[in-house]
Amino acid sequence: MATDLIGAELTATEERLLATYEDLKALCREELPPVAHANVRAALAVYANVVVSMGLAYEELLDLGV
Amino acid sequence: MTQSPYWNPRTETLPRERLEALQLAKLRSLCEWAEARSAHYKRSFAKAGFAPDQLRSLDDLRRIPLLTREEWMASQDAKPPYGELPVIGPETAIRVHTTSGTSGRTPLRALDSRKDWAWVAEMWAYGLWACGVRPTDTAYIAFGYGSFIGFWGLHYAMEKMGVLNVPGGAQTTEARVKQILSFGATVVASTPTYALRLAQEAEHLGLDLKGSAVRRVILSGEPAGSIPETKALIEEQWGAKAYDTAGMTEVGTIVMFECEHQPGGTHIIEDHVLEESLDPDTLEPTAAGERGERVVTSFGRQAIPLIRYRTGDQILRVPGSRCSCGRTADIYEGGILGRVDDMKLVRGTNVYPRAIEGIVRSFPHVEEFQIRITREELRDEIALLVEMAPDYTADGWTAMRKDLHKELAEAHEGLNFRIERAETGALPRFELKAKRLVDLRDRPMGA
Repeated sequence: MATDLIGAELTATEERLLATYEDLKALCREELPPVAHANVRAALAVYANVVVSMGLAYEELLDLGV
Repeated sequence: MTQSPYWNPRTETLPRERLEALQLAKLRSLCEWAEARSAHYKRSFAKAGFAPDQLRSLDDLRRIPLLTREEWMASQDAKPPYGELPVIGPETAIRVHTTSGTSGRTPLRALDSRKDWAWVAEMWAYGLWACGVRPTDTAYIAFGYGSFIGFWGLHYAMEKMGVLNVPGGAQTTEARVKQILSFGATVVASTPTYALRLAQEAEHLGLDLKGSAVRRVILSGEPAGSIPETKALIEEQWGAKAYDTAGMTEVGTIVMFECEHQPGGTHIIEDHVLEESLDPDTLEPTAAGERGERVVTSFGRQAIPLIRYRTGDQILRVPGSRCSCGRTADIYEGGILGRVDDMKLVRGTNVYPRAIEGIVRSFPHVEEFQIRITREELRDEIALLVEMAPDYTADGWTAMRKDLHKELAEAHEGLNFRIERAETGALPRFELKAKRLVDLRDRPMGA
């Protein structure tokens, strides 16, 4: 079972929120055309607030260009 | 969307011990990042004998060296233009903002990445939601939109929340007042000083702000947003509730806000910042109920890690249970109380600009004022220059002057303030950070 930063089990919705975050990170690692490259990063920058504010994840994203 | 009173119900209501566990987890990660990527922190941690794996509880925070503005400035001067705190260069950053530089010093330059900038808006969203701002609102932002960070983050938070924004940049005060009315703004954001200035302008123009659609005035940029007399005057002149927020360019955004319950202070956004209250002389933690200097660690900015930064802000921290809103984050009673170096010594009496403003603003016909300290031969003198509404009568002034003189003396161990009426328009007006104390002495007596 996945947990948050302080060990609490995630709800099904929280798991989906975290999975979407991981998907966006994975897309940032791919070779994308400019339209996707920029917009995926812009999306991840905003989306990171969901997982950080909710305590689901906390990490730096500079190496992904975010 | 749920009708939650909290922007982030999951962490804003966390029990204290869980909130601190979350802070510790973020602190470890932040310190590892800073040590690995920032030349400044790598050096300062090594010099202090600190390693991130020493962080086993929040008490270990004190192993980490403090950071001062002077160190940041020195780093900028040594390695211009950004210094060695940032972990990125301009090729990776997406924006740069500067401090307002009101004290005449070189401004600090703060770089932000995409993620950092999104976080800046996120912090404002915590505060705006707590003040009762909702997507159906129309917000007027009375701000110049320049290199000073000011209300930029608020603008983006409003957009994120779905609020209709009216950017009030590059406008005269008259034009701004007219736009607030014509767009039917329900929320206005400005500094406390400028909120009063807008109200004065509306009165001069014969426009009815009290009868307008404005329901909330969001204040930031000056401690006056939590001075009860100033806040009451703003609320009276606007016919709206005023809410204080506070932050700084070094953090990039606000770190505290006043909620709708208005407990007489501002909630700290403790899931995103770790705040300490230290005695500015001994650097030891202050005891409960004691004023101290605010020291901040920000979990939000990755491009410029900010760890144990001495803000120079004076605060009085009280438990979050003081407020009935249900947030568990602690509160700064009275918001930012001033700067630790704000105090002036005049003939042996401590003089605080905030205390004087509290008295002056209890006289509603005062339009602007300035405190002026001079040395005449060997004696310090303090004068208060007061600008009244143009139609304020001479008889009214005589009576008010007497009352003002008495109240100031009673609050300052009998110190004699010279009260002078300034001509209409003679005193400076401020849109951002007001500077109403002018000390013309070389240095205080006895210093």
